[in-house]
Amino acid sequence: MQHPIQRLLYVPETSTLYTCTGPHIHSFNARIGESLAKWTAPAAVRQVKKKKGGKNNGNGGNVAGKKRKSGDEGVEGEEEVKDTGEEEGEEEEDVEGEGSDNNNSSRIISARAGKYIVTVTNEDKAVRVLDGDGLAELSSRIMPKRPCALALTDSDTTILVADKFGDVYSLPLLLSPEAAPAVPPATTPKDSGSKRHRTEIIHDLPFAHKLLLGHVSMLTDLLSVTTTTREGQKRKYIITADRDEHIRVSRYPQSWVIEGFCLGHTAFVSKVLVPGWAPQEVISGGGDVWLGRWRWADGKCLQRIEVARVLEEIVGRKVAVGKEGGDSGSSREGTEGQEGGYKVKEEVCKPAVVGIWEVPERKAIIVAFERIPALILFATQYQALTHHTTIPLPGNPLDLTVDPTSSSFWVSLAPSSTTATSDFPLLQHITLAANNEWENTTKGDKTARAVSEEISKVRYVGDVKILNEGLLYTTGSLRKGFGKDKE
Amino acid sequence: MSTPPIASVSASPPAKRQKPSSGQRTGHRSAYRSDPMRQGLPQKKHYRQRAHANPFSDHQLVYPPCPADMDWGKHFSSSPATPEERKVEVADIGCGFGGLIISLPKVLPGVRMLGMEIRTQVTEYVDERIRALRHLEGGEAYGDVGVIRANAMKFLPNFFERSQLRKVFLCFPDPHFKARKHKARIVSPTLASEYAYVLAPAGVLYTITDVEDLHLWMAKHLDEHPLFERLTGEEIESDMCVAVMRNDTEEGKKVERNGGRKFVACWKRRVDPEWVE
Repeated sequence: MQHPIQRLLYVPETSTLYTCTGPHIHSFNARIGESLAKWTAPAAVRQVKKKKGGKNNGNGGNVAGKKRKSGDEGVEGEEEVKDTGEEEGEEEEDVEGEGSDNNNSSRIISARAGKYIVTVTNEDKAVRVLDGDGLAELSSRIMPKRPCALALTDSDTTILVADKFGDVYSLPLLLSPEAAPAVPPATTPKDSGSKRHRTEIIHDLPFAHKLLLGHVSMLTDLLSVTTTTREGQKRKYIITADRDEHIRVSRYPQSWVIEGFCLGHTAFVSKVLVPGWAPQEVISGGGDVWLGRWRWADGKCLQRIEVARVLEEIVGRKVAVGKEGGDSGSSREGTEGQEGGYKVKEEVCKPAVVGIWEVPERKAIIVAFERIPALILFATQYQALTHHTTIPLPGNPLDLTVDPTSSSFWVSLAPSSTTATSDFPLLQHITLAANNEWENTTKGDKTARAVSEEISKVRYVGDVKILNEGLLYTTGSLRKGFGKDKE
Repeated sequence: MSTPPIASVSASPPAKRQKPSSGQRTGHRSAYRSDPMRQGLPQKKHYRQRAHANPFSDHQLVYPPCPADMDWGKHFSSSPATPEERKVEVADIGCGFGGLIISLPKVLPGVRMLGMEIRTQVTEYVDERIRALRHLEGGEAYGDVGVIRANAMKFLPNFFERSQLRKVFLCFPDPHFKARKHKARIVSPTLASEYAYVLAPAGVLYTITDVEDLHLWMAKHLDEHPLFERLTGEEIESDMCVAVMRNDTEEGKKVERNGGRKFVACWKRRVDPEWVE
């Protein structure tokens, strides 16, 4: 089958569209619709992990077995089965060992008007800086835990990296020769060799870095915001979102001062966006049936944008999330949370926001939900966001990138059914008119044609389930009591 | 919570004797706990639980989406006049069997204090204990003492607003000896920022442990944190709460019995510094 494009990035300054397809990054000139360059992530050096018995990130049975001997605390034991494995910070596929050529790019951003591209490769947990032009690799820095989000600050000289363990690091965009020690410190995994050392929290990474802040929860998104006070002073902030419903606002670079939280979500937060036309606000989405619009300076919720009904129209069944705790799936044996109602969960579609993007000229935001073949467009009316239109798609949206100059965007798709034909449209181009009416302009878009031509050469031969759950649809598994139980 | 082997030894012998050899559960503990006719103070042995809980797990926790949504009424029996007085000002994070919060009212009368504990049955014990104490003579003092099951490492900001607390206690926390478990420690450079967030300027963070390694670790990270200032030995000795923490916590008593050492260190929350660009 064709490999779907898991990430898209358009850089308006250079009119270049970047696509991430598995471990490959391609670049395209969007003016003339021509393929420019290609880069492939090196295969991850796999550290063979033998049995991880007794550790909490083992499979459910393992954990349950461990709990059984711990005496009469049935309730506690039941809960532990839902362990997310965050503690170890490793994904299961690390243990499984299924080929190491899938060092997929999971994040991509551009720096300094497209001069550089920063990307994260999943398998080796590396943050890589590429040359925006020819996609030559300039640096590669292996992080201790898998990076989940990237941002830039200090006029694009510093990369912010949020990881699965809940920590945010800052790294200089470019390595200066003296900042990189030729001999890594003795505590790096390679030297110590033993399994024990490999899983330690390594704070002395072999490159310049700073640990800025941390949540005790997996981070899902990260924003860097700069505002100016009335006196004209610059104020920089970091906004972080986590799997445990938090949106945190911290200062930068005094990142140890937490300015506040935007609290109210009752399921994971997977995306946050500060719209260009309202820099004092943040829009959030995740596992709730609503999106939040907040004033992030004081954490006030300005609006709850309900999405359940809009989604129900698309999927044709009920969209809801069960009562927190009750729906968490661990009540199989009914020890504590014997709330009824969660049994109907097969019927209910639980929303998971995969992305929120802005179309600045139109003061509109576009939201995509996991495995829902449509985009939902919200327009600004009297500062509030209201549902304007729904754009049906021939597949499930994976990522989207906006060309702000023409108020158009590309969206990458994955087939929503398993019986996909070989000429499945991987990329669509959609243009928004001044009144926010949309038009599918894929046919006339030279770039989309060039992308399709080039990307259709990338084949995926492995197990579709691994592709789907490991790369394409990872947001839904953030829901509690859902991730590990499934397998 | 610390030195788990001792904790289980002290509680387990009667439990073992009652366990039939077939391995079947008799449910005597849960029967005891749910007995509506039970009188007096609860007995610890019926609330035995292992010493650790993984702070990274998704426990079936109940917590408010934000502090304003918290209904404190059911956790306290006192009824202060103003909303300000109704706010919790003291938090004992990882309160264990509740020795500290039950003794604190004698030095901090009329201050609302909350014990937070992640283990269900230990929390239940403390809750029962507080409820029973309220019915005893002079029990009004316990109207301002409450306990809640919570993972404070994850959800502290769900319970408390910025600068709400005057005192935060971290008594005999789980030492997590292994280096790769250090993120699970209750003090880490990044978590210290959260304690600073909930503490008011000049509020105090108290720590006590019998594990020297952990003491040095906590001291290092809090000393290095720009928002915390270490209290001097004199300041510590003159603080009534320190004496309570040393002598009235369950772990404190146990360490005393075993002739162990106790390491105390306290920090004052500084005011937020000027912004730097």
